[in-house]
Amino acid sequence: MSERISLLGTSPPRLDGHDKAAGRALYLDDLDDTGVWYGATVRSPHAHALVRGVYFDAQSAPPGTECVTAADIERNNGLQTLDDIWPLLADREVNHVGEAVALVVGPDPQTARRAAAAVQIDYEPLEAILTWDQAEEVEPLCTLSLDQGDAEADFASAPLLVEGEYFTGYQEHIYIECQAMQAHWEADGTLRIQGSMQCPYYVKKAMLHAFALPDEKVRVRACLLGGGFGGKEDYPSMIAAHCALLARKCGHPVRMVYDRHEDIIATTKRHPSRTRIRTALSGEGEILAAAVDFDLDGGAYQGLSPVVLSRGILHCTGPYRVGSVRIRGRVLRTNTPPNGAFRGFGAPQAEFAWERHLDRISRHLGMDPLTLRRKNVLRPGDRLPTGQVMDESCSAETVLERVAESTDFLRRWRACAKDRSSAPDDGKPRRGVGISLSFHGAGFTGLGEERMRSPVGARLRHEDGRLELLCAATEMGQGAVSTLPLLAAESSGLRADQVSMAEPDTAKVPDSGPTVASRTSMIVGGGAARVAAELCGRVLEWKAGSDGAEWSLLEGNVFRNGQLVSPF
Amino acid sequence: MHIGDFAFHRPTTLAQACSLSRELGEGALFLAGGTDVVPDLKRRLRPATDLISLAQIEELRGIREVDGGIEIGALTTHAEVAVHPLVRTHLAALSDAASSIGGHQVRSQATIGGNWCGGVPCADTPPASIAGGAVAVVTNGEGEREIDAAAFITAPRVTALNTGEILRCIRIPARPAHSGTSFQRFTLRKGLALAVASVAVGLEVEGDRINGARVALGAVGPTPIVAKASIGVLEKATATDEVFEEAARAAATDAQPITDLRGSVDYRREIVTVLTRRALRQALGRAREGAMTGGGER
Amino acid sequence: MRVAFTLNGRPVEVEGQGDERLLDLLRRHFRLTGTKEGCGEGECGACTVLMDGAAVLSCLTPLVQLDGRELFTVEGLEATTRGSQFLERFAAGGGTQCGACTPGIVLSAARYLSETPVVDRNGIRRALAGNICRCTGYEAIVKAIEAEGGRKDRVQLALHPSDPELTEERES
Repeated sequence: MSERISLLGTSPPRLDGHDKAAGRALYLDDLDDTGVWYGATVRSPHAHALVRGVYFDAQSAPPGTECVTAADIERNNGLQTLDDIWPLLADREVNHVGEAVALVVGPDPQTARRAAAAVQIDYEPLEAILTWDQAEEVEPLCTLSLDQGDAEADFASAPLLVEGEYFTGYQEHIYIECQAMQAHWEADGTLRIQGSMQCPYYVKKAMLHAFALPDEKVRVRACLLGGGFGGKEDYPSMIAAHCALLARKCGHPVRMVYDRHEDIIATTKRHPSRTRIRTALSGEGEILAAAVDFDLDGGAYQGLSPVVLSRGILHCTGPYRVGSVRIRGRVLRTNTPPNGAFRGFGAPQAEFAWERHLDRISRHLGMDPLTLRRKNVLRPGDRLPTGQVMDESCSAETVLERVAESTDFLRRWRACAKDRSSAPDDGKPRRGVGISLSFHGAGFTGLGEERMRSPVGARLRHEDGRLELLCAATEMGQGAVSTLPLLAAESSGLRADQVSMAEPDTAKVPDSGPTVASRTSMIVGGGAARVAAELCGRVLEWKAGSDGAEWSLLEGNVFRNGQLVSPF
Repeated sequence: MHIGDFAFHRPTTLAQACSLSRELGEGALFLAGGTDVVPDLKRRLRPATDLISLAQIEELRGIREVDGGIEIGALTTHAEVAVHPLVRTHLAALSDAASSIGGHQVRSQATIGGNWCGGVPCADTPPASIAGGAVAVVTNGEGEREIDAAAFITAPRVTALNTGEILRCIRIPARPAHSGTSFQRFTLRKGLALAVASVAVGLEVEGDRINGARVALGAVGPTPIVAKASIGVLEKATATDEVFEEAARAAATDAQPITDLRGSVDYRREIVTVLTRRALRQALGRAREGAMTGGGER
Repeated sequence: MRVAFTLNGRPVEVEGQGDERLLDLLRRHFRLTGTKEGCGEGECGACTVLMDGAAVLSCLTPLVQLDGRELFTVEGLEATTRGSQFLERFAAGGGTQCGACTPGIVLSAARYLSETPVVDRNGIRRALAGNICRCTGYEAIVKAIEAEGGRKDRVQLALHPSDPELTEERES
């Protein structure tokens, strides 16, 4: 095996680059749609209402079109994520604007849209929860807390207390390719799904639950994604279920492609947040204790919110040393579309609030924001609120110093501060400059990765002698189909072009976990490197066992007793 | 996919288009470049039953010299307006306004007529045209009337056009000697953005004396605004930094901005002051350049 | 309504409704799926094609506007020798990520490169102002186009319908 790092750190062209540039790369809606019907969704215009009745006027609808409502769902009307409370189709009650109430299907998109106009829904509007204050009056969707040390005692003895409240708003992913999915029931009752999704095994799990099918009767293939950013983690399961319901009803494969408006209205977004922070400080600006109330607006149903909350909680005090902490997190329920995954997964909201709070502290102390951060930045040996000790490397200080130096931060900050102090007190905005530091973990939080122990497979293909990686990682622009073969080649002694990747189809690849949380290169990539090295190692061992010679593999060539035998 | 469910019409003359519009009534929309109308129709923002495409009407195309001034056909795209030498010579502010709109794609499709008839407060070519004393030439298929550029848009998304009338062209009068114009615009990003505020200025000078001034503001009122206070400062005054500063501050009082996601009232007034100052300086420079070279604006 | 136009060098005629979008005509009728729908409202540029040499938004172009026009899509670009080489170099330069914006971007770039003798970064950025890359890969995109602009054998489309060079290039 190669000891030399030969591939990593180089920038070979993406394997899918030219196909994408030439428009040859196929996304779901680029696939041949011969015989495929198209679905459309009828959505609630009310944030909260009783559904008194759903009527499909077959007379006025285009001939052949069909309608599906909650009444047509034979098994489980719930989207399986962490729970299954989020209905596939609203039954008796809608809990947010844009909630799906009925589905229609026709032979082409235009006809499906006309059929949607033939659906009449009788609503009785109810009072809706739309503000933080209203949301606090009802049971939260979930809560999570984190304590370290004796915060109460530290607050009681601290010379200085600083409090603040911080808000962040919605954010929409705006992947250029809108959500797109297709479902087809085979003659033997197998449900086949393909589409734009980050996590084929999540979709599979949701289909197994919704249709109460045995494992072998659901097969899910992820197409190329025109962007995901977290937005295709949970919601694709919803659209897959909708396509499957319609396909069962009309007997054709059914495709649904959202237009931008529908995508923005209906699918998940980044959780708005409200963070209240109270800190206890020494006179020199050391953070002795922090009490953080971290609230996320979860929308109408829980979805992935508990995990988003968890990552948010873990980042509530940023990359800084804090004596003791008392963190209380809640996901509040409102009558708005459920929020979900978005790059950073709760951490950006928490870290935004914390960084703004540090600025507030610096104003209280009359200290510049860089000096305050220097005093408290995490260094090796420090402990996070979770108890994790920064025992390996801790680049926070290096990053902070490098940015401060390269931007001449202090000089610019002082210039702005001087301008502000000499300006009239007329309430008008002034120029300012700020600095902030953030940290983020790759892979699942907590024990997630240890629990999953995501398998990655590899096989040697007879057809072309290549090593094929078997994993469920999807390609959404991050370069998985180019990066993972590179890692496998590096570890095994192969060349990158001797490694390929099987398409992420649940019938072909093991569940190497979802393509989320910046885990693909690190976690799945690590698995790919290990499995490729082991497979090639076993082949070399077997050769050695057969003739007693020393077999090795270097840059894609096979050596016997140091002599080149052949390419792999 | 279709944009919607509409009856579709393709007249080839202005007279046909006008009579179609009268027959079909309020549900009929004219379609020019489509960059505003198509998204509105898709989102069902306009209750349309019929679309009348103007694409086949040759009378609406082209830029030509008329009586020392120019006429710009309503179907002329922003891309054409932006680079056409006649526009550059007669009203540089309009060239600059047209080249600042949207991105290359939108400029290649969207028309100057559409920009006027859409009637949105942040439209760029109406204020730029006001700076050159332009009029809108409107036809009902039988006869024409002129509407002063400043009176064409009467409220947000409302124009002075009657049902059955079509904007045929923008008419820009002959440019006085020793005159120059400027269009200045502020956006939150450099491309494909709507104006937070825009200012267009036309100055006619004799030496340092300002014989005539036009100042028009965009995106800071329900319609393009003629900045009367600012013009009052400039008329018959001497072109100095102090006068320009006073005119710039006066323009901020002429503005009637609102607070929206692109900017607050205070911020927009501040921006108007800065843009007016810049526009006055550029217009003066162009007037002097023209005087020296004897040519048009650059 | 019957309209006749030229598509990637070939004359075509279609029968349809005046308000059908060029985007759907390309994708569904002609099965040229390289042209993508991003926003459907003219904001993102993913659906960019060339019409009489200008980059236009096919999601905002109704069929009625196509009569007599010369249309050119990413498939047409790939079919030319220099176009295909440009696309390969663009990809090798890291110009693609998720790829959904890429066909629109390379057409905007090809238009700019074909009519601009001396390219510069500001010009490139202005030419691409109507194209959003949500993966935010702009730096690599601009660099790749800048590098192309510096080549003697750079992509060169004859952008106007009557130009014989265009036909020649296409047929090669």
